[in-house]
Amino acid sequence: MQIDAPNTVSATMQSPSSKNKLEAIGLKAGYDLNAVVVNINLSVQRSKVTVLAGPNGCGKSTVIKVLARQLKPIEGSVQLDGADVHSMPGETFAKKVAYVPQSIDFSNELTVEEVVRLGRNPHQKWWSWTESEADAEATHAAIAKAGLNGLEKRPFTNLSGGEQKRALIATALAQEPAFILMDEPIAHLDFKHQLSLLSLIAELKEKSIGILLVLHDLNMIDRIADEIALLLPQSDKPSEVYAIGQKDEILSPENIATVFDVSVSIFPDSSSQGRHFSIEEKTKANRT
Amino acid sequence: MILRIILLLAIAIVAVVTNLCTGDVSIAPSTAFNAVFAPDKIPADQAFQLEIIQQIRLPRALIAMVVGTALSVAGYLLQSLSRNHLADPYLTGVSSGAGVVVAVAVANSVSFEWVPLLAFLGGLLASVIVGGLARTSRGFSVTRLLLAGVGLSTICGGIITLVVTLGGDPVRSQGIFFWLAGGISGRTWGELIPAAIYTLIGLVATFVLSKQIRMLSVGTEQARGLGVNVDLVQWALLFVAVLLSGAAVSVSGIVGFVGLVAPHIARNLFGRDERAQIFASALIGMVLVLFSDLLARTLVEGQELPLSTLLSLVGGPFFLFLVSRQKSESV
Repeated sequence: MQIDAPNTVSATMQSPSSKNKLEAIGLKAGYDLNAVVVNINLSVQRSKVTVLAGPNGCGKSTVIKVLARQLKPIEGSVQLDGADVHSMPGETFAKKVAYVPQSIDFSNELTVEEVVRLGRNPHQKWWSWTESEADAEATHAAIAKAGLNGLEKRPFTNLSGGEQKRALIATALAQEPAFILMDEPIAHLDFKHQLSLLSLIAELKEKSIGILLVLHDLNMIDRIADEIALLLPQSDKPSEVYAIGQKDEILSPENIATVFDVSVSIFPDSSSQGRHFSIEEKTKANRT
Repeated sequence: MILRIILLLAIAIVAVVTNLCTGDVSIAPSTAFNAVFAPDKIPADQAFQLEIIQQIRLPRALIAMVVGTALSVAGYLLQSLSRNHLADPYLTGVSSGAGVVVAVAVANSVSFEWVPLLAFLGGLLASVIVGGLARTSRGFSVTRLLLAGVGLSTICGGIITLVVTLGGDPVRSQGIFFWLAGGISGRTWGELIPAAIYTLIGLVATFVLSKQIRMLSVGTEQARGLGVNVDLVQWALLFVAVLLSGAAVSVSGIVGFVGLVAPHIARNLFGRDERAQIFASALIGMVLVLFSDLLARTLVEGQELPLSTLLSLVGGPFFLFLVSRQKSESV
């Protein structure tokens, strides 16, 4: 019935299909007008974990940066519940979407608690240092959830890489967002903390948060993803999405072989009732 | 923390009192106090001392305080902006840019009310050039910022020499030269008021921006993710830093290193509270300039040394010390 409606429908009249979504539509993105990725169509939905994967240099970080409103697209748009992300104010976006970048570049001596409290910034006035009760509660809940109890008073820059990552995730949680985007969240974590992060992500998903992850490890992807987008780098051309969809259709040996340029064998894993991906170098595999 | 602030305030008060009482004519602190706050109580036989305090030492001490505050808070802002403790108005070329415009203005007998504004515009132009050269697609590069600052300072130095040499009127040329050499001798209320107003505006703006300064300290990417309009905040910080530098240059010429040393000490004293750091930067800057000015006019009898000479002798080695302490090869 809405078919003939003009394009100027207000956000409140959006069709249900654009609600509760962070969507990339026809994205072309890169640096200084040199496109790294093209034709990216991707949506992050609430209560789902979407994983962006692909080999080094294929533009995963570029895509997540555009979705996180860090980088303007060259073409196309990113829409949050149907509204254009790159033309909305930063605080409005940060109330709904949190971003955990890959690298950390601190130049202060703030404690863990003070860093996590910064996550309340989008809920506060830009000039005001006052903290409401809701701010204090959200900060403490985020610290507890990220397993940082006992580290609150430690200077952030004295933490280990893994602890720093968890503190940044806690900052994202303090934002109380509907979506969390994380660029390689497990990169600096030891095995125990990798697993505890996976269970934290599963818990967030239960609380109807939509999650987008850039991940490398196929077995980790298999454990956590609902949907997967594989980016394929192409020589002399920007990367494109090679395959996108439900986990089980995407994680096929053929897709993995094409995108990552490796050969892969899948074994049943009796201990976890799941499966295990074992990868080998392609040339070596061909020789034997 | 409170204790440290009280201690700093006490040192600042001592610096002001010493500055008012010491000189070719020694004045008792009580007389100096009355001269400032209750001139009616000064007996007629001390009219000379009253005159010295009111017309010479008080405006001069206040100018020292304004210059110290403006330069150190400007340095604090530039350091926060570039996220590096080696930045200050002198090294980033902001002071030189302001100096060129002021030199041209003074050479053409422009009325003094306009000088702070012109200094501001000159500093702004310099900062836009240096900032533009320092900006890369990945944000501010400190190496580029300092190199561009040094390059621009050299060019500005050349232009100032040209203005002085070709000025024609040797008396005025010499005036410009002494003024730019950095010093606050002979400055009075007429120069103080405009510079003080600009400094006050800049100081209030810095406190208003203090939370955004903290937000930027977690890195531009993280800050943007937390809803900060990074570009706008960076420009605002640069703008306020230039306003403050312009105010300082308009009364004291080019004085180096206060903006480097004061914020550094302030950060070491108040590592985690930006508001305390700003307040402490201002106080330490005041103390540095008050004591340097005192030494400048008392060290050699019958002769006054330029303020910038003394500050360079203290600040230069401090800068080298900071360079030697930089952890990595990159600045």
